[in-house]
Order: sequence, then C-alpha cells, then structure tokens
Amino acid sequence: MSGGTSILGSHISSSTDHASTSTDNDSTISENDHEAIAFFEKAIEKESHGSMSDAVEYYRKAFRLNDRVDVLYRQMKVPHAANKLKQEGGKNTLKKLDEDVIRKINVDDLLESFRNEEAHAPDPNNPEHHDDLLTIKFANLGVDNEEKFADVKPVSPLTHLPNDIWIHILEVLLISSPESWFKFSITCKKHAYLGFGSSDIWRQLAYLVYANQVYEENKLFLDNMPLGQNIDYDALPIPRDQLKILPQFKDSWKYMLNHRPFVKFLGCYISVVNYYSEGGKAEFSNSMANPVRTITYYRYIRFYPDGTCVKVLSSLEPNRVIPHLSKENSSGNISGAVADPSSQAPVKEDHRMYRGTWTVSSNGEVSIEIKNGSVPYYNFHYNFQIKSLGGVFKHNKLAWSRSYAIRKKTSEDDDREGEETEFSLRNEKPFKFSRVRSYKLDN
Amino acid sequence: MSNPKVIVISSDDEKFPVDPKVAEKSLLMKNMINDLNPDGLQEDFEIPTPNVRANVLAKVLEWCEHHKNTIFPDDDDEDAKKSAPVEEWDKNFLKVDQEMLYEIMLAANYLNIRPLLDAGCKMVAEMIKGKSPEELRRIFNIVNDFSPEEEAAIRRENEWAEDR
Repeated sequence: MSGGTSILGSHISSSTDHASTSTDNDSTISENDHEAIAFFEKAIEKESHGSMSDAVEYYRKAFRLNDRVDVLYRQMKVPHAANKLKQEGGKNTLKKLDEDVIRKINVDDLLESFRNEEAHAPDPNNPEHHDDLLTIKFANLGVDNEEKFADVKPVSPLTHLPNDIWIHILEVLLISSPESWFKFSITCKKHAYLGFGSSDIWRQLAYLVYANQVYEENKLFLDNMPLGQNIDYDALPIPRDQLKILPQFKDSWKYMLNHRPFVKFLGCYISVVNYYSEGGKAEFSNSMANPVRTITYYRYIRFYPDGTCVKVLSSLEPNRVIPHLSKENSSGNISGAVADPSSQAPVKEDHRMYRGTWTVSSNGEVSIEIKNGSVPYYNFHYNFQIKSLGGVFKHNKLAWSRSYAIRKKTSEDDDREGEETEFSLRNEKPFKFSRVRSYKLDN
Repeated sequence: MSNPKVIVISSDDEKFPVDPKVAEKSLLMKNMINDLNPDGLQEDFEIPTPNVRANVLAKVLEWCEHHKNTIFPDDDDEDAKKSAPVEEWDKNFLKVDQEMLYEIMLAANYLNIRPLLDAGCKMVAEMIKGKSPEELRRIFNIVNDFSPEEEAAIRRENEWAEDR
C-alpha cells in the first residue's frame, strides 16, 4: 500500500517517526528521557485508537522513567510538529482565530467576491510576505538543493491559463487525487474561486458520487420487474441522470452534495469499540471492587459501487487491517499472514473478512446483508443512518440503527427458518470514514 | 507535381509547410481548409496563426506530425478520458519549462487540438498531485492572500468534499 489513512495515518506517522524528529535539542537530553518520550508517544497513539488500557500502561512506563515527561514532550516535539504543519499549510496555520468572525462569513459570497482576483507573487518589500520568503528559503535548504530562491520573480505563467482550462485541470484532479484538488484550491483567492466557486466542479463531483450509489428503491423496483422484461432505466425511482434530481436541491450541485447522503468508496468506515467488562473476584479476596478489564475491538466496512462490501471485526489496529481490506483479498484473512498459500491452517476468527451486499436509500439508510457470516445458519443484517461528523465532515459517519440475523434453513423440515434474532447495540459505536489513498473504486 | 502543403505562419512570420494531414490535427485549421477549399486542396494554402510564436508553433506542429496517424477516440466518456494516464511520448514531449507548457496549452486551446490540451492539463495536474498548499505556492510562486478567518471558513465548508 502506498498511502496511509488521512485521519489515523497522520497520528501514527507523527508519533512513530523518530528519525525525522531529531533536533538540536535532542543531544541535550539523556537516553533515559528519549525512552520516556518514546513511551509517551506510544501511549498517545494507543489513546488515539481508543486502546485505553494499553495507553495507561505506556503512560505509566513513560512517567516511571521521567515524572516530567509530559513537559519534556511538549518542549521537544510540539514546536517541531507545529513547524511542520506551518511548512505545509502556510502563514494562517495554527493562528488564533475569532470564531465569531468565521461563523459570520458567507463562504459562497466570499468566493464570488474572488471572481476577478489575481494571484500575486511574493514581494520582498512586503514584511508580511517576508515571513513567507524566510520559510521558503528555509524549506528549500533541506528539501531540494537545486531550487535556488530568486528575489523577485513573477507568478508562474501557468497561473494565467484561462479559467476553463483550469477548471479542466481541477476536474482531472478531482477524479484522480481529490485531496490535491482541495490543496490547490486553498492556496489563494483566485484558486479558491476556480476550485470551490464554480458549479462545474461540484457537478463533476456529484456525478462521481451519486452515479455509484446502489439505491434501495431502485433495487426493489428491479427485483419486482417481471422476468424477461427489458429494463426501462428512465422509469427507475431514483433516476441515473443526476440532472433530473437537481431541481430537488435548489438547482445547485453544491447544495445537493451537502444535503443528499451518499456512501463513500475511497476509504473505509471504522468503528472503535471500547467497553469495560467486570470480572469476578478471586475466592476469599478482600478487595472491595471487582477486577475490570477494558475491551477494544474494531469494526471495518468497505463499500464498492457494484453493491458488494467487505466487513471485518477484529482487535487488530487499522494500520494492520486497512492494507488487506479488499474484495480482491481472496484468502479472507486480513492479518496479512498469507505468505504461504499451501498452509491449510484455518483463518483465525479475529482475522477473518466477510463479504456482503449493501444498498442505500435516498434518505441515507444503509442496509448491509451478509449471507455467509461467522454463524453458518444466520443471515446477518446491519442497518445504519448516514450522518455528518461534527456538522463539518459531511456524510462521514454511519450511526447504528439495527443489527439482527435471520435464521437460514438448515434441514428439510427446519421449523426455525426465518426466526429473527436481535443483537444489542449497547456497546456499539458509530463508524467514521477514513480516506485511504490506495483505495480505488474496484480494487 | 508534389502534393499541396498547408503553410502555417507564426505570429513572427515564420512559415511552416506541413502535410494537410498534419495541420488537420487542429480542428481550427481543418475547418479552415475544408471551408475554403470545398473541392480539396489544389495548391499550397496559407494559415496565419497571429497569436502563436514560431518556437511554440514548431513544438505544436512536431506533436501533430508525431500523431498524424493517431486516431483519438472521440468517446463520450469524459471521466474515462480525464482519468486515463498521459501517453509516454506525450509526457516526454511536454517535459518543458512552465513558460513553454503554458504557451503550448494556449496554442492547443486556440488551434483546437483537444488531445494535446488534455495532455497538457494532465501534466499540470501531475505537478500539483501530492503537494502541500505551501509547496504549491512555491511552485506557482504565489502568496497566500487569505485572512486567517477567510481561510478557516473556506476550509470548513469545502474540505470534507475531498472524501468520497
């Protein structure tokens, strides 16, 4: 796998990347403190995954080595991480912001006001740009020795390409590297107008997204078609031609994307489940409390536009599962331990991947069915509602609505066939979407 | 007698005689040739390109010459076209500085040579892919002209859409 996950990946890489974190300060601290910081980082990583008992264990180790490890960590690592962020994001990164001002901004109007904006080259006489220049010089030193910074130079001629050509370039990016579309469009006002302000871009995105959904309403319609009849695609309850749906969304593609739920394919949905399980006391124990242990496991779901999906329930962490979570993984084993295909050893349940089918309804209810799941005589059904995370990350969350199983026919005179078993959702947590760069629509 | 040529004239008055087949890679030139010579070319035919300089025109015609026998699929699937990788020869051909790439793309746009323009767009997309905003500002030599609040508001409203 070439890419990591966008959400989890950033955590993992920033905390395990020891080689790049060596600064001048490093030489002044002892081996012991290094080790303490390493444990501290491991603890942060565990905590971010929700593995609380592991996290506590590592925090304990870190503090045992140095009881001021938290202060040390902040001194050593945070400025470095902040610098790195600033080098990637630019001058506005990590600035204190007035939340009221942000909330009052009407982004559509703002983008429209950029219509005639030109891109500007850094001006060495402008102290505000100066800061940029210094970072540029600084960044160039380490990254690429060939790049020499000239004092005054105009913006790239490519910036002057006509807008319709730029829209075309951005559409190419939208298809092949959506995060690059965003990163380019956030560079300056002119580019924001091109990337976020034009309905061509949102139309393209709407087609990429909605044309790949497998709608429950359409499936019902097709299932109920008399055999042998030609399919009249114009009669589908949810038309394939997105233009026919546009009027329901104020004739705005952007509005449609914001308000019409969809299932995402270029990543997977992960649910981290953490709960406490109370054990029994040992015989003759004087302890007042029962021993408690925390249980952490992960649920993974990845959807495909062909109506199939794969599902894993495992204690393995995302970076171990994500590379193997694919319908092309014929072994059904997500631990990656498949080097020896001749091995007859059965796959551990904790490493097993199951295949299923899915649909989404127009109001965002996702239904998954797994016919060959962990219990041979059950057909598993999972129902979710697509929601937004924190109001900002649209359609990024799958909230549980139901989990049940229907008994299959197991013998000729099986009178239990069709029995429904409801599973408790008490310990379940919603799924969050994580983008995975290596995932394509069908790999 | 040799076959009649199309003589493409650059903005700085340099003349480039080419086979009609080569010139016809440009839809603009193809239409001019056909409209003004309804019975086919009988003699050399001059086409001025008042906004394409000689060094750029030479490049563009080199591309047309190389692709004179290429049949570009006129397919309706725009998405497939946009996601197809750039052909190796085109990729090497377009490994030029930003100024030249810009001029070639403008010329391809003006002369209506869609496959060349598409390849140019993909080359620019390749330049952008995988870079941070700050790296991109460096590549295009532009400054971040947002106020911190503007940037935050725009981010908040649009960034989610990169996940799909």
